[in-house]
Amino acid sequence: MKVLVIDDEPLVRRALGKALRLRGHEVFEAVDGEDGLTQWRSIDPDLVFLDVLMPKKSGTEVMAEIGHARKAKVILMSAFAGGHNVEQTQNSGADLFLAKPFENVIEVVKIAEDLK
Amino acid sequence: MWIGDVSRIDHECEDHEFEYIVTPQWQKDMPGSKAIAGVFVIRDFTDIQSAIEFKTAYPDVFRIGIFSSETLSLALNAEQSAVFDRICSDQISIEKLQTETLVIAKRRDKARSLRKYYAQKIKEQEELNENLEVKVRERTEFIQASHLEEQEKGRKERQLIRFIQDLNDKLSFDEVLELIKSDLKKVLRMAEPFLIVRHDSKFCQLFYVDQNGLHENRIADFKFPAKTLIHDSDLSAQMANHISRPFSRCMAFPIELKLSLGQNKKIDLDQQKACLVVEHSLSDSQSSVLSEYLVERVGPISMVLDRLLLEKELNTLSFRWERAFEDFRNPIAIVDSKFQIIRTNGVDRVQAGQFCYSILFKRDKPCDHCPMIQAKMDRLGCETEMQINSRYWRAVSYPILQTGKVAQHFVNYYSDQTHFRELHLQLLQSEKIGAIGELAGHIAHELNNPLTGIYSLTQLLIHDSGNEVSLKSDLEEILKATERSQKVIRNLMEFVKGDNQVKTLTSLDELVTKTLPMLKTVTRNFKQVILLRSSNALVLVEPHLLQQVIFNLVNNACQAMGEKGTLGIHSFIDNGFAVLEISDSGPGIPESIKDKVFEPFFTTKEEGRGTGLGLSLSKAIVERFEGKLSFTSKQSVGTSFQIRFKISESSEAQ
Repeated sequence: MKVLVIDDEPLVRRALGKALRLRGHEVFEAVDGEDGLTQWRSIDPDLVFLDVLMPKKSGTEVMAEIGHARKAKVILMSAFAGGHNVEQTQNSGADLFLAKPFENVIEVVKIAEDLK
Repeated sequence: MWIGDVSRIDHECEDHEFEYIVTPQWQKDMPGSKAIAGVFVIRDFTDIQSAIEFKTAYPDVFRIGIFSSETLSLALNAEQSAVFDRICSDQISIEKLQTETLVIAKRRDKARSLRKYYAQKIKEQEELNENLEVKVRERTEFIQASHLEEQEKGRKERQLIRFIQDLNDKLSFDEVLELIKSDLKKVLRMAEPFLIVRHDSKFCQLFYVDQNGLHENRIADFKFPAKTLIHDSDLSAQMANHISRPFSRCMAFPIELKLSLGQNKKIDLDQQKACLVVEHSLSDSQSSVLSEYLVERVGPISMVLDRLLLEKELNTLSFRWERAFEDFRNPIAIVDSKFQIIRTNGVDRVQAGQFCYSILFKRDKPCDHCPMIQAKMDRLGCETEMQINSRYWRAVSYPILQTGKVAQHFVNYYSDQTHFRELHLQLLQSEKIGAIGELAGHIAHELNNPLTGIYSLTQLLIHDSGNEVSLKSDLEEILKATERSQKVIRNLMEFVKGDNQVKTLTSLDELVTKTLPMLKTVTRNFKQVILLRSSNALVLVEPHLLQQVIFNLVNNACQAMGEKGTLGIHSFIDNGFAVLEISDSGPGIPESIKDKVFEPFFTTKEEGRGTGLGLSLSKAIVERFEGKLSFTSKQSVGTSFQIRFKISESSEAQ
């Protein structure tokens, strides 16, 4: 499937990208919220990995702008874990919340696939 | 004898009447001419004797002629006649007779007039004398009367002066009344003085003295007389009511007071303030003596009462001032320019020569930054902050100035700012920590991101490496290192969390375990003996704060030991309490500072190296969760700090 990774940390994009490609998915990378939004609209991915804290636009803002009319499954990621982030996930309409750092990036990919 | 016309000249000579009868010729020719003839009759001799005396007086003879009955004649008896004849027989020349007679007459006239004059004069003189005497008598009487009056007046004045002098040393209302009473006894037997003084707008105080002593009755509704009353039955009735006995006649004198008896000075100015009532048994006619006597005394009495009231007020004020001075929480001292205390609160007796810095702060020389020195130079109040031992003081010194002179005395006031400062610094501290926390949060996040990347990528590389063993093991090391980094960040985040976190059940062991990693640099030089035996004992605390306490204690322990030593961390259960001991093998805490150790700002570290808040804050935190922080220390052996918490519940774990 087409996967879009929106995160301002290069290594995260690289690692996630590599793991996803290993599983045969097509991976696109966006460096910040704005770039992410542009690419989302143009690529129309099946799955989006969305970091919350980013410059220019935050993950939640991107979610808001994309709106509910989207086909992609969204996984929100953040270094700050906590009850309220889960709430935030539900409120924003994301499908899953993942805390960083990932215990195992390969597992993450599997979970993401299961979403679909 | 000649017979002729008769002219009669009455003449008075002494007490005899003489009649000179002269002939007309003589009469006619008298003015300057010689009389031809003259005859005169002596008439009305009271007796012969007088006639003889007359003749003797005027030895130059004269003729006596007796005339007809018109000129009444002496009824002489024969003897008398004979005498007369004999007298008449003396002969002298007419001329001589005339001249003589004239002369004599003139002389007699003169004599007569002189005599008259002198008699008059004598009479006048006598009258004058009499007048004078009368006047002198009157004057003397007057003087005597005045003198007596003066004496009397003098006596009265002396009495009054004595009364006033006696009043001067009276110290209370009853003494004054006693004096008035005894003074009145000098004037009359029965006289009873009463004083009524207004207390406030509702009540008056009635003062009087009897065999039981002084009475002070509170009465309402007293009608003060507007002016002096000599007798007023209304007043007598009122008084009888107030003292519950029959009341005789009385006199009332208004007394002007400047001060009032009650504390509340809001008395209408036209409300009469005081009155002296004197009970007596005199009749109306006699009462003037008493009233005069008393009128003179009303003035001095009112002055004395004012003085008593003023003294009372001064005493109250003085007492209040004393109390205020003494009760003042902060030290105040009146000090001279040589730092010697003149007066200070809280210290009953200050011996001469004791110094303010010695008595107040137990020092042997003036405090650093003492404001008095500056105040003396500037001749102005000066405020400074002083740190003495481990307390902070705000000190203010005011010079007591006299124009033109150097201030000799100062009023110094000290306010203990320690607590305030402590709170302030704690606030700063917690703000700092809050800021650090925020900073830490940002840093953690910034670090977490690449770490996530590194970790994940490394995982994938390991996956990719397949059978390349050395590559795989190197990558695994990277992974572990990354894990450790992440853990450090997590720990740091936990540690700087603010203190409005919730209390949770945790064990002291767990807290130690979490905290120690952060102290690796500090503890690495020392031998560590760590025995944690209280993991089952859960205490209800706020974990991050307790971690700070443990951090602080371990840090202190290590700093005390310097280069090397043994750090001991023991936890155990003791009778329902969870105990954590942190000990060091340092030099120990000296006896002299043992009781100051927990004081805020107390530090043995060099300036700048520690705030001195660590231990006091730690103690506060421990006590906040109902724990106890204590220590034991032995010189050259070491120190051991102990935290003790009541076990909330035991967990079954482990």
